Amino acid sequence: MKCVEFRGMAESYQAGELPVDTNHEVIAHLDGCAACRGELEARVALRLTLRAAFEHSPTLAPDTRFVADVRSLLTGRSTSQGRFGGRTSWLAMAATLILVVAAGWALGWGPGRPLSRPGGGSAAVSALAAHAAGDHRYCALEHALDEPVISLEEAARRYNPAYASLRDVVAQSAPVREGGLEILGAHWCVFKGQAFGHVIAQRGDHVVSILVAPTSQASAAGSPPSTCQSADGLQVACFDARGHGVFVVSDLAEGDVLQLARSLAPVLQAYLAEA
Amino acid sequence: MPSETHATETLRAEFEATILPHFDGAFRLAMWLIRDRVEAEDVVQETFSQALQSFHRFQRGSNARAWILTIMRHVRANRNRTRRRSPLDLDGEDQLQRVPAVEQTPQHVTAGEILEALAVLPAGYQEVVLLCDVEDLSYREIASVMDLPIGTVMSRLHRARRLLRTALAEYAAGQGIGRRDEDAGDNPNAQVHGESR
Ligand SMILES: [Zn+2]
Ligand SMILES: [Zn+2]
Repeated sequence: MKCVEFRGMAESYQAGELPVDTNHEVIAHLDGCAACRGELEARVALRLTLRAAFEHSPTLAPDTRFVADVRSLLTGRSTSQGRFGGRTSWLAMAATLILVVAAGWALGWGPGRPLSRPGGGSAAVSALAAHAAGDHRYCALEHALDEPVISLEEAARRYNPAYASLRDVVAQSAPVREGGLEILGAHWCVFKGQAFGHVIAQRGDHVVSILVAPTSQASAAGSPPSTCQSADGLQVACFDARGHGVFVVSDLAEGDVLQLARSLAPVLQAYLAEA
Repeated sequence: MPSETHATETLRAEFEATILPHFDGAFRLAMWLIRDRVEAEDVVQETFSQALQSFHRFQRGSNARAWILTIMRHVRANRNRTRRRSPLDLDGEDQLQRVPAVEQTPQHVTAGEILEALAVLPAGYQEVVLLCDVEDLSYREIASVMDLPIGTVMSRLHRARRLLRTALAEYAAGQGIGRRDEDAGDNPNAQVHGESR
């Protein structure tokens, strides 16, 4: 299969509507073609961004008054009776989520400014540091990412095989083996249109995110980690691995985050060089 | 008769559990497509009232969201007919012939940018994209909701994506999507499309 053929059927592939044998051909092509994997991931991210934008737009939201009126009309009960508090929870939950997200933006969370000092990753990788910090904030800390996350296995199958063993590789790293870092979970998620393989871990009381994003501009040889962003109390250490940028984000002290990145870099760079 | 009341109550409870959770989504879609809050409220209210009345015909286990959106489309079509408004599908085919092929999907698109780009598509194309990406319907379900052949759904999606990529690429060239990294407080929800209250 050629790239141009893949682009022609990417839409149906994403929708899971291709015949089985064609589906296999697509997967085989994706296995060997970083450009098409990147394109697929960008497409998925765009769709998730649209969905989140739509679901959280205040302009499109129904008035609470209208919602209450129609509800009581449909259920034959006044919502103020509180007879089915449990059932109104979907509304309350949606409202809370919108508030959390809106408040986040109002407070100026989201990407901070990159440091001007030279980082450990290539320019392309450093440029993603703000997104990595945002993802840590929204996904790992606030659990308020707009989209349900996807398992690493599923993401590996559909977008990028490099995600398949991400969690296991981190589990084999020195800090986890020595007990200084505990893995809490792993998945694939999207923040502001940027997709990440995401391992969430804990050191003491501090949550640590290890984020991996594909970028064709990362240096092939890899680079030693260094601090590439420090903003809003979050430190981001980053480094290049073949075809990917890796980010370690936490509110630990800058030196600690950097140290953690240095101890994770060997296994992750070795793994991504193979993937 | 107590058993009848009980049956009605059970049905209502089931309606609340399966159909009402789609209220917010249905309203947002109506609001986007109609662009008039009062009309959107009327449409949504009528849609859910009709849904309650015909809920006994809802096939258990089928996609409740597709079901409610099908009803909503009928409600919209009927209201447009009686008010002699334009039909729902303004195709805008001619506009699409001139679209150059942008093959690369841009990255780091913000919420505001994607909604702006979507808003310039012909109405029928916007609806297909929203039913696919936001409502998560299958091609078959979209075809059924919009009463279109499945092939038309697929070709529309294909063209709509190309239009979106082009609009976003133009946006990036003109205003610099990459620049957004600097806008720390950039609200993704600000001004999503022509304010229509
Ligand atoms: Zn390819
Ligand atoms: Zn995440």
